[in-house]
Amino acid sequence: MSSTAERFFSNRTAATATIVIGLIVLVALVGPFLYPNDPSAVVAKPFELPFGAYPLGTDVLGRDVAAGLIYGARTSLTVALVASLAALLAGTLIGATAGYYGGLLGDMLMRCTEFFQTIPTFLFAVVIVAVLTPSMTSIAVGVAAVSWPPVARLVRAEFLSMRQREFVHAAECLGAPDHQILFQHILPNCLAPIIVMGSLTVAQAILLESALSFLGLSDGSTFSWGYMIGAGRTFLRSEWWLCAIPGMAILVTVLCINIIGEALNDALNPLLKD
Amino acid sequence: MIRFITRRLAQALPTVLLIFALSFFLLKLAPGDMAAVMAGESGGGSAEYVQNLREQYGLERPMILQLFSYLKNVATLNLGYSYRQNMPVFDLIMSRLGPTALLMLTSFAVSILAGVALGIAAARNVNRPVDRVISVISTLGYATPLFWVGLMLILLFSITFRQLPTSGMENVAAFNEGFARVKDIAWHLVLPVVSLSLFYTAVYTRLMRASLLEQSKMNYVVTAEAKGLAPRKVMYGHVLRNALLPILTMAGVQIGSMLGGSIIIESVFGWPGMGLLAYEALFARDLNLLMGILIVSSVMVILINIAVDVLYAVVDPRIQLN
Repeated sequence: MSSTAERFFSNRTAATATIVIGLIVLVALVGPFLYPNDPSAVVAKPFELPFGAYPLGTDVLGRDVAAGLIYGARTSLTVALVASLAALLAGTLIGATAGYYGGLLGDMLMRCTEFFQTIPTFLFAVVIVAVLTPSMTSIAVGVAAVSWPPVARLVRAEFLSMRQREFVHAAECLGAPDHQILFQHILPNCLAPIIVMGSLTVAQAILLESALSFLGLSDGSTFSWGYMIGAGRTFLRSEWWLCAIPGMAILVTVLCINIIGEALNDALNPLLKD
Repeated sequence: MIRFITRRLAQALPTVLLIFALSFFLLKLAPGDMAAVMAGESGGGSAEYVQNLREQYGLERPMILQLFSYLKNVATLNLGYSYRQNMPVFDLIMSRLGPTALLMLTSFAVSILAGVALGIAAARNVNRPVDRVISVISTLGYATPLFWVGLMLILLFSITFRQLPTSGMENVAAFNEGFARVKDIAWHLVLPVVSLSLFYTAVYTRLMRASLLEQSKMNYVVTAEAKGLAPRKVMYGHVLRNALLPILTMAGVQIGSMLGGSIIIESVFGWPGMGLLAYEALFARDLNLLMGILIVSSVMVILINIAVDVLYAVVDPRIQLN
């Protein structure tokens, strides 16, 4: 494993991206304690310029933009992580079952996966959030509901190619129970592509969450980056930074996660590099 | 050909029914009585209409029978009535289909053309500065939220340079006709299309580069080069055709995602299509209208995918339609 880490960190872009993501996660974790301003509290008059009394100025209601950004990091990352974990779990279970057992069950599961892929993703997420009444939980549910199909397809393909390998036959002959074969023998051998897929899922989840919050599909009391852009949108003509700053935060976060995902892919599959 | 299309349509039928069923269960999932939800929350329809809906769907009967009456209604294009917009849902959606189709088809064409062109430029200059620059651009395009690009483009081209319109599909007050109207709409189309295409251009650029590099290692390329064919001819006569196939596959997969992206782009640019309608429905909490949009756009995605399959066979004669 150490050589994988070495390969990963020898990629300087990936190392930088990891540091940046580390900092963003740190801000999300401890920021609210170090920077105690409440993001929804009115602290000054509206539209204070950045770099004044408040590092990033104030918004339309006179709320501290910097505080919003810090709490927003917390919301955006939490929702994206929770939704991605749920999607990875569901996708892996469905894909593994379909790939290992095949047959009618596998067919049905894959038909179901394809069915969910025909529905326009974003619209489906919007409908789910609207039906469940907008909140951070329903956004996470919506994002997870549209993120699992690609995972299921990938995992199925991996399991399908593994199930004829000798180590699987050997485990079967030894009478190992199914769950042991699936999760202790096959899964560890498919972990590399699932990890890469996972990082891309998180990046997409952040984009989805921001788009949903931008449309006003949050409960309004929880700050997120997309919500801040949506709220600042009306003042684009005069106070453009209210949109620009949270947008940059999303861009940098997603960019870094994508870079890490790609570098992971190269590091985990050293033979594939061209 | 006709037989293939009929067969694909028949195969798509269960999927379409499942989509109807899914929307039924989503309506059921919403808090409150389904008839009230469908009539529009916070007092959209009259009590009479709600009662009418209740009888029409037989909400006192078992769930399975309710599902059947819902399926029957949807299958006969009866998607209910939107009290907010004072129009039957189906007619409302159809009236907004044109602008969305225009926006999507243009973005589709732009992103594929730009992606293919950039992919070729990158693959012909592997690991040289041109390739690096294109790679940076596509990595950025991959990570930028669509709606934010839209806002920043408005800021740059409409507010700062005052060159392009900020919203809408045409200048209605100008009463343009004929060519002047086409020009006006095209002018309004620029920013929404650029915003919507950016992400997909990035996707196709990467795919095209990878696909070209993979194809250029094939034996037929060695043969073509060995017989002394000019590099340009090898590229455009042989490699390009084969490398385009994965792009087409990907384009079919991305249609649904692009339709979703157009919701957000339309609400940023006030583009009067299905996406803006969805945004309006969201604000009015008109769930039934939202469900109608979900149904119509899912069916559209299925139809477009069948069209892509036919196109596939036209582009690649090795694929038999039967």
